[in-house]
Amino acid sequence: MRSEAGKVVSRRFASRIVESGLLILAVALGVGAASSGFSLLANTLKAGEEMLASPAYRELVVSTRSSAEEMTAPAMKQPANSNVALTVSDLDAAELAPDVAYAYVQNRDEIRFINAQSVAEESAMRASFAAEGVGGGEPDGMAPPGDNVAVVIAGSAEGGAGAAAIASASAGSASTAAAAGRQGLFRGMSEDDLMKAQAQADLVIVDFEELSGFRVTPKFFDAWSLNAAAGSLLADTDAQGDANSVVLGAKAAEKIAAGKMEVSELVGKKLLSRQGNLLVVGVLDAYGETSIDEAFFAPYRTFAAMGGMPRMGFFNTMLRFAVSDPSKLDETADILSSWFESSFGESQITISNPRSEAQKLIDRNAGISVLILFLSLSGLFIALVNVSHILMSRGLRMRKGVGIMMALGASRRAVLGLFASEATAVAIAGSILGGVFAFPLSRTMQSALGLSGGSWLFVLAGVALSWILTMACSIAPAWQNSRIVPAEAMRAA
Amino acid sequence: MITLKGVSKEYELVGGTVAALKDVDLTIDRGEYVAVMGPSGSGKSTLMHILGILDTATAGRYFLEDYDITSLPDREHARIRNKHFGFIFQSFNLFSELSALENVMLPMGYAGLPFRKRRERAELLLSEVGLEHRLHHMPTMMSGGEQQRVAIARALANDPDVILADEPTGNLPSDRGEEILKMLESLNAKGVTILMVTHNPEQGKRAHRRLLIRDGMLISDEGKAAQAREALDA
Repeated sequence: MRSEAGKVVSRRFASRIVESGLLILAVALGVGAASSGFSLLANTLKAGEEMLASPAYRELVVSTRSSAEEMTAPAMKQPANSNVALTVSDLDAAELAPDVAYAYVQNRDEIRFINAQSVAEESAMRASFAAEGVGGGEPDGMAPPGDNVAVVIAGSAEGGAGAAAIASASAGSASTAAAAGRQGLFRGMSEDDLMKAQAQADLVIVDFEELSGFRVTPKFFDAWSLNAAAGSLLADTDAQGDANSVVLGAKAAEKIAAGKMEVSELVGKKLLSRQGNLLVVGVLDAYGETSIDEAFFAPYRTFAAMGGMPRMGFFNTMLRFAVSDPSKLDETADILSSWFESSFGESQITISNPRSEAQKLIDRNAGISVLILFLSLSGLFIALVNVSHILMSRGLRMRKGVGIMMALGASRRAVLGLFASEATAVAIAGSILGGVFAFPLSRTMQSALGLSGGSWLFVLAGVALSWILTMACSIAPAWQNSRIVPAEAMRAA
Repeated sequence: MITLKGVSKEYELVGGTVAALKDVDLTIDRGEYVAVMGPSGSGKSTLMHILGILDTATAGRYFLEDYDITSLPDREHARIRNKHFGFIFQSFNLFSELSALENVMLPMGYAGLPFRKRRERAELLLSEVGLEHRLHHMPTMMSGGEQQRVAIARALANDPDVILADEPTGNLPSDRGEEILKMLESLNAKGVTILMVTHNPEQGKRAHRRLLIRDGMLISDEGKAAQAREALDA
């Protein structure tokens, strides 16, 4: 700084380094806290908006359980009332609700792949059972080749996620074996069988063991606005017939391709699994949500379509009714509730509105964020009051010097500029340091509320806003210090 | 050069109003050497502050070169102080954060001189007062006499018309004080108007004109210039 007057201020600032450092630190803490609070509130509101924009929060879930959340686990469960089961045909209730855009089924499921590792493990298990002299008893879902065929239907029967029905067929029962083959049956596989499978050009041996996904009806893809990057989506015909069709999410396809082929080349290939050979009919565009990108999507097939009874009352299916206008959810729920009550009786069917639960969470988080913002702004206010006080007292200590400067020709404006420069330097240094505090602090706050990601722009905006407040509180004493009369200032001790 | 007409200065205190100056009429010509004398609390400093535009009068008018500057805005007063006046104080009032050179450069900065010109002139002024070897020393490293010489150099920075000196030898031993008085006389000989507040009658006698103030009023105006003026008026 070449101005001699500026040198007076800057050298005084440096000579009181502890006070000056505390000044900057006070601003930094206030700015850091306030900008973290701003960022937290902004990110909370943004995350809430993004969350509610998901199709998962524009639909009603109808199930026979007390809470739709209990149906997320892919396991066979006995419903509370074994006489009541929902089927695909119950989706027809959508015709009564004009605001329903899509009605579909989406049940969780898993694919278990066969590969060298799984075959080796099975062989070891068989050897172990044989050594123990256990005859005919097989681990669930496994059988030595050529013996009774264990039929495991995983998730393909009516009743949804991970449900299984086990039927054994005697060896040599061709019709049963054929039926089992059509349904995608597990066959105990030897190393030789595996080698033969590997030789098939259209068969893919997947390196990993499991893949989670969903059994869906075709309207699912429309409801979620999913498109095929390669191949096609599931059609209604996929739910009938013999073929086990499957559509892969973008990342699931990449994982299966494992760099050995292009993702698009998976279309038309079959995946070797315990559920049989799964035909890949399509790969989805990247959606940006893990639950879609890392999943598979297979046709939801009724037990009747597989040759079983149309309504066994044994499995449970969740029906989903998606609306295009979220404000119509309650109204639609009332209509569906009436229909299902009339069809199944009172208290047999539960209609869940995930959006209302999500809204409660969002509102709670927003409330907490507002409270945190209030507390952080209070911290900023207290810091700025102290900063203002310290700058004022610094100005008073320099009162005589100001009088001398004025005697030498400094105008009030020049004096204001001098003090304002000091205040600006404190505000800028404190704001930069506060910004450094703010980034990790805001991430910690967000984690505490279960939020992730978030834009760093909100932190910067918070820093800028806090800097403005800091400047306002710092310039005020500067202005006051410039209003002194030179003669009075020079009389100061 | 400077004319005060009916100038008064009052201060509002808790107990009432105090009149520091009462209806002062005063004319100071260019090149005069004027001593302002009087007891403590008489209004000497107030008069000097008014003359140096460090304070504004409650009543009356101030003319500088026949131009009424009473009601000019603050920035104009600051410009006039910077351009026409130089100040020397009893306690020197140098900035301890600045070197001797930087203290002398300070008023030139307010005049808008570029850095190089400020430095060159400051070096010249300090050598004229015999401090060419102390350019980069801080005031705390200097004696009182040396500090006052720096203050004189600073007062001369913008080549002022008037030097206002408030007890310039008050904090100095007599020999150093004598040096300062000789410098002021030398400046006056070059045409600079000197206004000096002093308690010392001997110092007052060295001025061409002596103003005596008591209780805020100009009691007497002695000296060659005063006599000449009275003769003219007569």
